[in-house]
Amino acid sequence: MNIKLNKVNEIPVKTYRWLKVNELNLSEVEVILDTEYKAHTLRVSDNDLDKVELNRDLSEVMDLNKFKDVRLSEELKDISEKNANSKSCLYIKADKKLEEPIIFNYELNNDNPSLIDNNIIFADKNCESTIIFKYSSKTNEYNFHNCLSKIYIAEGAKVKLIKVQNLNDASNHFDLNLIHLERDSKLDIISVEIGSKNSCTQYNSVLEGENSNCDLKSVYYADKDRIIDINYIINHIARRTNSSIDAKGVLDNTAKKVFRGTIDFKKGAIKSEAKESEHVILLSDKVKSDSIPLLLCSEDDVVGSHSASVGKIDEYKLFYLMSRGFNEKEAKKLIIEGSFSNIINEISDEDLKEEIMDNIKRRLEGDK
Amino acid sequence: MEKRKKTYVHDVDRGVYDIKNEVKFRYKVKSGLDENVVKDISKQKNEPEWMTEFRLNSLKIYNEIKLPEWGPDISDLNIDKIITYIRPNTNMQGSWDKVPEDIKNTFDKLGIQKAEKHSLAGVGAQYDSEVVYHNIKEDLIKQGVVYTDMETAVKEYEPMVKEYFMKCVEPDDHKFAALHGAVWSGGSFVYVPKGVQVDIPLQSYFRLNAPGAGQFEHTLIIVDEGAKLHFIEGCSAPKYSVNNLHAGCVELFVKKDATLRYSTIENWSKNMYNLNTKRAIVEENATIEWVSGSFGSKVSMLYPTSVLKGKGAKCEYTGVTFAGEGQNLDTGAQVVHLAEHTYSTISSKSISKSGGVATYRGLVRMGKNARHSKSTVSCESLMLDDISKSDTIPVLDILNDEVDVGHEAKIGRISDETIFYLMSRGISEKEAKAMIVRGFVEPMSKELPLEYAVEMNNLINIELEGTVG
Repeated sequence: MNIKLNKVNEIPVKTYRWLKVNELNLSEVEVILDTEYKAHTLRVSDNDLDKVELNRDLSEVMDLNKFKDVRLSEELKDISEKNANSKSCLYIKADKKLEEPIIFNYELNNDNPSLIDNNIIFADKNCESTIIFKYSSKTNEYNFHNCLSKIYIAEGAKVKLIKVQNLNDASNHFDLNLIHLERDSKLDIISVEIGSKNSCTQYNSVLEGENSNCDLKSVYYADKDRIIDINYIINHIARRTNSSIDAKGVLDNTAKKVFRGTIDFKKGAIKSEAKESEHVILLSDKVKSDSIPLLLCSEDDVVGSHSASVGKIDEYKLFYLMSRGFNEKEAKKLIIEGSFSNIINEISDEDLKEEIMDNIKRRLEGDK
Repeated sequence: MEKRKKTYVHDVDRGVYDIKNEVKFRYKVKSGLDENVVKDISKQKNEPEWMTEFRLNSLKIYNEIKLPEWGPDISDLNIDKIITYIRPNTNMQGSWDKVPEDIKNTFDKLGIQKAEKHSLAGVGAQYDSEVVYHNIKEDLIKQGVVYTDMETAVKEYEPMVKEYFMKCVEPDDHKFAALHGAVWSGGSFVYVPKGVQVDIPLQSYFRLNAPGAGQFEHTLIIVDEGAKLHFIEGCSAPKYSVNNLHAGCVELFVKKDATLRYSTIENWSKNMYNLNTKRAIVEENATIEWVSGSFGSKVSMLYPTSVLKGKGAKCEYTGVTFAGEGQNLDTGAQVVHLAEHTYSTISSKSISKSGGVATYRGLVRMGKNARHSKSTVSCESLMLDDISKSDTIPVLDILNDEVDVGHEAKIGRISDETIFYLMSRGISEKEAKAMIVRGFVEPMSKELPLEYAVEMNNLINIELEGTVG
């Protein structure tokens, strides 16, 4: 079934209409509803089994109404709520430190071409944990993926959330993450987007507890005719809240990318600090790169900054490496790998880290 | 946590800017907008037929286009209550002696005559819908420089006006460009011939005196190959309790190797909707420099646009926005790079206080052919209290890979350490704050001729008086 999707990844404050960057509208998206999804694996280390509860009804411990600011199209929201074929609840017990990452591994294949996952995560007080979501295709056929995750980080909890998307070149990927942070909590997000035809990602964090932290690091690599559409929003509600957005990307061939990154200091977010940066390397003259780094501020006692840079590879770096005996292609590869590895190195799962780096290396190799 | 002490002080008298004259007019149209009003304006001006047609066509476009879905709320602006054309009780004069006393006094208090004597090569003064005074130095006339009001230009320089008028900003660009096309009146026309260097600035001053009126002046400047010009635009109005509207249009054509500096000190009263459109088309190796100070108005939506069309074209934008109580100032720069080796530098500073909203909204577009081009954008915002708002909304739109584009923005308050340091040197807190704000806007003051830098400092003093952050 093909449907129209309106207002995917809507920006919090609109700008000039003629640029058509306020939101993404897709006229024909093939959605696969009413199929089962059975390829899901969840890995929790044996040592950690008693520290978590799976499939617990979390509606009694967390107020799901807190996740209302959904800037995703109504259609996709509807699909997540009515047609989910994979539902997960993860509860991490208070004061528990998990030894190994919890891994949600979603493979899409010929028998499971569609994944509509609806996840709720509750990290209770002072727990520590790493959670990995991995989406990949084991087929060249079209895959449809629509994810809605609601993540609640309770007082003092420290969570690292790693999401890696590497679906095949024909697929559609929609990924919405609504995040709520309580007092003294900390969330590190690592987002890696290297696959699918359309990749629409949103992280929408609300720093509601005093002294809460949210750091978002993201890497995207778009070649061929891929479309990357990003909407990162960090709302500073409470005082002494800190956040950062650090995005690094490469665009090649005829890829298109829209990056929307919003830092919003609400009134009352006294002594808060936020930093945002985006660096894009362009490898072809047919790419299109839009960057919209928003800085919204209703509080004077804050420090905020953003920066964005777009362009080809730094000539001085290239020159230096070539003077050391690398040819141009190798030098370019090294610079891009270097730019990415900073972020990818933070992925605590060695296999996954290697898999991503290999994928990027292979594609850079095949390029030019 | 310690609570910082804050005192909020209301705005003070804006002095000379608030002088109201009794509204004396020779003719005015009824408020609102329809075909008859537009025909009436055209008839009053005794215009050629193509202009009447142009106006009617623009009106049609105006009725078709929707209001923007972004930016400040302008729903309070009711065009049916705006008088689009009000002719002062005088003809255009070439000597101040012939200008009616009350109008002359107003411009005198605004310092126009004094500036004309000392630092300007030519002056135009518009009062409500029509230009009341226009004069230019003899030697410039001899060199072929044309500086006159738009009405005269339509008649005396018809072929040139027809070629350029609303070709840079077309009526279908946005709703208020269409409105402007329909009811435009007054403004200045400048032509600088090839190779002529106008060393001393020309200035047009726009004053809106009548309550509930609109001002729609059209400024058309053509700087021919290798020529140079500095043009200054000033605007002000006294405050009324009803809404006034300013929807002017500025079209600048900067030819090969030419340089144009366009400076604006805008100080509309706080009942004004300032929905102005400014655009420049910049040819090969030419330069446009914008210096833009936005202090007044209730709502401003102003984004000077530079279209870098020729190889080696350059654009520089320096802007300061100061939003006080009841103001929503949405300003910024747009640069469209269309050719190789084009360069743009945008520097924007904004200050908001007492509930004012200051927004930087900008665009840098690197087109397909803009190879080896470079753009640098830097925005700084200063908030003087926690009831104000300051947003930065830039867009970088890149369509080729041989470019270098950078954007930076910072937001924050005056740090306690800086104030403490200055106070430890014997400066009062109030003076320390004023010093910091003046230092903050210094890059802008530097760009202005001395008299205007002084005026800007005075404006900042007016705005800052009594503020203790």
